[in-house]
Amino acid sequence: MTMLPEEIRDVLENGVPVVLATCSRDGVPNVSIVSQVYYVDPGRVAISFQFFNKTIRNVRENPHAQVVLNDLAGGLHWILDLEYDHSETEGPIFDAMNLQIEAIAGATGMKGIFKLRAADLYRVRRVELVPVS
Amino acid sequence: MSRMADAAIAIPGMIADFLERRSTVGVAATRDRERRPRAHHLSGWRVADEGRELLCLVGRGFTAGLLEGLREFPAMAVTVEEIGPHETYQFKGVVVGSRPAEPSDREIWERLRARFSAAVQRVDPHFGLTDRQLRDFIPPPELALRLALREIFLQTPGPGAGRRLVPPPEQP
Repeated sequence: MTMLPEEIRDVLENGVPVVLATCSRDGVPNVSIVSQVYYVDPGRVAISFQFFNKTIRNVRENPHAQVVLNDLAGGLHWILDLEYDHSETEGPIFDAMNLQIEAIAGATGMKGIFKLRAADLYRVRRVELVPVS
Repeated sequence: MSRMADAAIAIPGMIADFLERRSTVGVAATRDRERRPRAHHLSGWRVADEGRELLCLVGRGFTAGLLEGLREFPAMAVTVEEIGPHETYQFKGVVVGSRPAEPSDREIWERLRARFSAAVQRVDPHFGLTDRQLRDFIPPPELALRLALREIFLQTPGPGAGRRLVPPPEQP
């Protein structure tokens, strides 16, 4: 099991959008930019499910995903290989994500558009660091 | 149904203008044999072949194993966003050619770096990073890929995100 290093928590909470790549069962890649990836515990992260889009459909067909976290201050990209595990629509993880999404929506002019439907939980399979420039 | 459309398309003029003048960040995804996705930061892009192709500059640090993977699975997705208004489109297609980045690609890269830095500072002037740090965040181009386009989707956050724009959705 891959464990996230403690220093990644600052990167996860830096407010910089995250790249999220998935792939359909038919093998068609998809890439989106999401507002945040949430730290759950050393082996898991969560991503918000706000709209029923291609990303959400893909990970339910094919659980593999990859995210790139952008550490502007540290000059690093953090690449995480993930595997979708399950969704939660209530409980402490959902509530904490909901609060943060409301804050992000307020700060980015997207209030009323961002709305959490579920917290999608992923297991971390690999961590790679790529220096910026 | 998630299979990609297979006929060539062209980028509408408004979206071409977005790509050339306003977009500020771009990312791509490919896949491997096990259908594991790989994400790549882009260093720039340019509309090519009268809108039928997008020339994508893949940044240093995001090219390892990319060409080998594309030879077997040439499908690629590219998402481009304008920071601030969040206007976003996703382009899907197949990679039909590649070459190492050339000196002329640096002009595209430099323009993107300038737009990116200005956009971040406009959205959040208190972000705490200098113009140089922000420009350095866009990696220098290492590889140029010719993406022959098959589909364009609206990705601007909201309920309409994911709607296919080109070709138009099939009528029931």
